Amino acid sequence: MLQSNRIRTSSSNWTDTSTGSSRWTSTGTDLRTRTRTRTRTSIVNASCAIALAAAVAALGSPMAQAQTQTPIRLGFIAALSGPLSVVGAEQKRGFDLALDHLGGKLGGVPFEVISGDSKSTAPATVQELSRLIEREHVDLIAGLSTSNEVIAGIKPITDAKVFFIGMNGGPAPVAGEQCSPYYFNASFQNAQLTTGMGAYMATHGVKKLYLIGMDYEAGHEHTDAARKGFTGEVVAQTFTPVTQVDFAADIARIRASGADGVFAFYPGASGIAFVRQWNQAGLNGKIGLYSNVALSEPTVFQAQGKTALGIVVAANYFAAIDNPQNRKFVQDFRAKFGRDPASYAGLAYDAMMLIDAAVREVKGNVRDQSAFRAALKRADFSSVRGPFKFNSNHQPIQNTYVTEVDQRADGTLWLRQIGVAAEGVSDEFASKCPMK
Amino acid sequence: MSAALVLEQAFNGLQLGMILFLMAVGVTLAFGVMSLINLAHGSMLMLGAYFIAAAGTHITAYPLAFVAALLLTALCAVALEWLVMRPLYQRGHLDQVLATFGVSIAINEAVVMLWGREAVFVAPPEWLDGAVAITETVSYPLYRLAITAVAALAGLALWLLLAHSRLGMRIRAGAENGDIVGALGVNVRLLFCGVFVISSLLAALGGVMLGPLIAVQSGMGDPLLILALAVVVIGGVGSLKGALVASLAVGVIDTFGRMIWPQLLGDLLGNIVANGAVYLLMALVIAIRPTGLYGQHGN
Repeated sequence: MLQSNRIRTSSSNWTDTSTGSSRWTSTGTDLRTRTRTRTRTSIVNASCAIALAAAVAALGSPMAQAQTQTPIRLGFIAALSGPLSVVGAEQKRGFDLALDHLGGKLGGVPFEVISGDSKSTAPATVQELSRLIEREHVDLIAGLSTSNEVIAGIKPITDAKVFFIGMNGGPAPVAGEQCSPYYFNASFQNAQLTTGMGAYMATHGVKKLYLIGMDYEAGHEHTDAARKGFTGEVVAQTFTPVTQVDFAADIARIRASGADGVFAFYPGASGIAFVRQWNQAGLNGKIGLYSNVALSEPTVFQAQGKTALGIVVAANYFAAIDNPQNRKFVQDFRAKFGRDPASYAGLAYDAMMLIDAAVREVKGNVRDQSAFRAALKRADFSSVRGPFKFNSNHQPIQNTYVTEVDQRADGTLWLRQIGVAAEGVSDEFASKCPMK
Repeated sequence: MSAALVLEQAFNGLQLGMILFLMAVGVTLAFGVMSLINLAHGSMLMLGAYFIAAAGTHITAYPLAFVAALLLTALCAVALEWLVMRPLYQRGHLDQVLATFGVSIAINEAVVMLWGREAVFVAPPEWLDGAVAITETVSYPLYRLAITAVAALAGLALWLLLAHSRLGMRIRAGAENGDIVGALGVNVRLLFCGVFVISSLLAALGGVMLGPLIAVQSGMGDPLLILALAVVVIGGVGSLKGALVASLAVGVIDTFGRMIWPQLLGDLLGNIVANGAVYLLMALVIAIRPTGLYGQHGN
């Protein structure tokens, strides 16, 4: 009766939905036939009533029974198309591998996946979240690929009182004043990812630092964070338009500024362009190039090629982290996709393991919101990145590492750890969040 | 600001200007001759870049790969003109915008299906690796100089073709009045197809040369197309001279603006002005000369 792991990308058609029927199986066949014949509006009303009935029934019944009743409906949303679909596609690889490893059960109970495409834009994010919440009646949602999506998504999620577990990006507002009891960020707070890099650069010979980044929320947050803790002279902090592809003018400015270190925040395509042009300008090895994993990671290694060698990036996750759960993850990822996982995949995988542990703890009863929230907050799972726990604002407390792009004997690139940027680092916005 | 830096930035501005020219001239040519607004023009740049990536893995001699990439793009352009563009010449601009935008989405997705979402690697030819010493203190990447030179040559060839050849005369005549030219026995369909292929080839040339510099991935031509559209508006839609002047002006203003504005206005405000300079220029030109610098009045 249950169709676990079924992925649907299109919006559902209520009249033929087997998911709708399987959901209410426990309440009887007659209800199912009735829901099929009604119009959509009345179905929504009826569904609410049935949901209440189901909730009451679930409370009254032994918990063990929940396992054989309704599958948990998990929404997965990511930028599967659009300019940042590289991120979404990598997240989906990590997500899919997590599904494989979980063997068709989430926290020991059956579940099904309904996916959505956030397209890396705010409007699409809001639209897809509403669809998942109002029409697909998901029990919880995981995903999102970019900071602007998270900012757009926080209100619909909180309003609907649906739990959301973030897989990438942690902009400052949602870590501070706009923090939500329904939002858990399993990836990183933006500034946190770069915490410790300022001090690292200062102690590794950088005296004059040039900060440059893409002109949007995350670009400002990451360069600001790199600036913190840097004791030398900051010669400039500039931002380039999101659509810029030629960095020759900026690279000439950097060279002329006399900087001996550059912190550059350019994710995806812009990172490929920046690194290749940096190399072509002959600055590799002359001026230190620093960043975080956005600039140089496995999804762009192929396009950057050897031009990426020697770039130093901060990371909360990279494939070479040594612990049993990560060895298993990386080994299976390589077998399936032929290269190292990028952090997007690692963090998506981790988010699923977090959800798995929390669902297990509440024995599948994710509708007991306070119990499920407490279980998520406890984060009792083995993270592929090593130590992990949640702060009071539901942002992670974790280590950030310093890695360098290096080459294996077969010519492929990898991130080699060369230091620790910060241990057990929390974010600086927790004090602004009303949750304690 | 040292003289060496000014010189280096002048080269950078010139190069950006020439790449924009390759894009903008195709847009303006298609509009001037066929009255076609082509939002799929960025896709031609992208195809050029993907084809050089593909050709580069099979053909070791760069000049051969270069020609192969352009030929493949030309084939695509012929097919596209025949299937989509031809019926559009007679339609309104809104129909053209919608149809060509659709084409660009389709080509973007086709590229994802063929090569995947992740960017592919394009190696520059080894003999163009390295830098040239321009003065004692300034050296400039040889590859970027080559881009500027090839783009300038392409522009020159286009000018010779249009101004001094029989084909060019027909194209110009077709732009003035296609019906009359047709009545005089010239195959206008073939002529328009030729113009579309030429404009696509110029964009593809830009893509082939930018391949080793920027990320070769789905949608890569779109940001450049937006900038090229601004150039075309500044220069005057349909004017080749306008496209050249506006391309160089935008290249130089953008490049030097990045240095000058932050110094004059501070990091924050200077950044904002530098990033918006091209569009401010466009707004200014439209306010003073609504048809652009070299646009025809009374259209």
